Amino acid sequence: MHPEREIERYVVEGLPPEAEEQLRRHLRDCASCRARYDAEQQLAAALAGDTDGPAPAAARALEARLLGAVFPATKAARRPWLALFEGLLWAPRPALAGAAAVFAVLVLVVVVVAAPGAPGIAATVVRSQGAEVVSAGQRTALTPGAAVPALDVVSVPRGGMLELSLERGGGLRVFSQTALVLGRRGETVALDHGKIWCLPEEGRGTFEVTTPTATARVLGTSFIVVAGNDSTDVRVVSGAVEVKGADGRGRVVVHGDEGTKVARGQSPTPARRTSVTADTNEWQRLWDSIVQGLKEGIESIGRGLSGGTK
Amino acid sequence: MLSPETLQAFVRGEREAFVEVFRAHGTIVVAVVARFWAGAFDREEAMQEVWLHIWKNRGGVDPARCGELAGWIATVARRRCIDLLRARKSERGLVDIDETELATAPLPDPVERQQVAVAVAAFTATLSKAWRPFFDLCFVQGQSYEEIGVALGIGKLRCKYMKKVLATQARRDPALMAALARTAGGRRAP
Repeated sequence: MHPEREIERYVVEGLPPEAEEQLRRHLRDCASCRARYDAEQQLAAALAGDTDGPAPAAARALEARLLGAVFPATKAARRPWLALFEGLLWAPRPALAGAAAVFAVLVLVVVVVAAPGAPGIAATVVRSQGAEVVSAGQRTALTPGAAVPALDVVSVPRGGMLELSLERGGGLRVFSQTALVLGRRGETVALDHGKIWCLPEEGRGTFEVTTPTATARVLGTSFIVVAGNDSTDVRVVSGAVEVKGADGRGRVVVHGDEGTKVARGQSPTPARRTSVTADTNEWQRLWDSIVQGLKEGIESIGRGLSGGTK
Repeated sequence: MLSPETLQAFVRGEREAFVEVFRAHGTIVVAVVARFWAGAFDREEAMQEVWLHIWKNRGGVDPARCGELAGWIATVARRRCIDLLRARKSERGLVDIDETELATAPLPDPVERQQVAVAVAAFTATLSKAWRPFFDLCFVQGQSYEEIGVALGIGKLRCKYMKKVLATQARRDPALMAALARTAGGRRAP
């Protein structure tokens, strides 16, 4: 459906922010509506006596949108914990990331303790190897059965792994060299860097992964998110995921065996066929190597004990 | 030219300074973007990207060299436009493209522009005396409903209604629409 009336209204009268955002998303994907919008703006610019630049109203709207993007006060109010992390954990790159993370945690702990209806437990550890949670500057090893508080930084070192059962229902598999923060009841994940495999239980409401460059919102599914410094890859194992760039830029729905990439400041690329076998195999290899390591450890202890008894 | 104090505030990340820079040098970005994109929507999206890029790279501005800001903005805007176009083309599976081939938007044709101006003048000539001041404040000067309301002593709702009526009348003006359709932008319209 082409919202022609909405486009006319937008150009002539303007729209409320949410409706404006929704219409602009549609315009990005619909060439026919974009052409209609261009024609309306061309008329507005001509009436203003300047066919080359934007009409005064369009220039003012651009300024407002830009100020909203550069100084996102309203967005911060909507999801304060995430905004805090965007500012503190993501902005400084590797050298400062550790210090920023500790600082962010300290600030957030104050927020969590002081705020009414504090976020509480986000997940429970199912299995773990080397994973840690940083709370109030204290590192605690995550062991099976341990509760993972919301808003604490969870990190998995090289060679480690972590599997979580989310309070909202479903699971989260965290690959090695990953750092993330879970939101209330595990309904949101702020992935700073690394790779996660999301297995949210269907019909339990919202589940969203935000990276420094993209947001992936579940539409009932299992999917993998890889966050790097300048881009994010989303690969869907089954179901469907809605992916947007940072600041809600673009919208792509990715289905099973498809993937998309979001570069910093860009819209997601169109969904393309991709294989998730490498990811699922990587997880299996990771787990097998840990089990093998444990087995060898137990065997060597056993050998030591039997040698000792001889 | 902006003052060194404004540029210092801009580099520090102050909102008011950003607005000043945006308003002072907005036309440079408009001109650069217009060379790469023909449609209004694409241009708006690109302008937003360019300004975000300028903001993120404001550390490259030397507040002591105010006179060089316009050139710096033009260079950064051009580089960003090229990057954006390259990213779009590579999304479509195309190989890297020569920079000179990227600036493909047609230059404004003075004859077409003149024809549109004549059609707009003819349209405004049909407006009654009561409507002309509103047309001027709203469409030409781009004032807000609040400002127009104060200037003409009418309510916001009345402003909204008048703007809608004028826009509909303009859309129904065959000479104006024909002049717009003859322009490069108009030929792309549905």
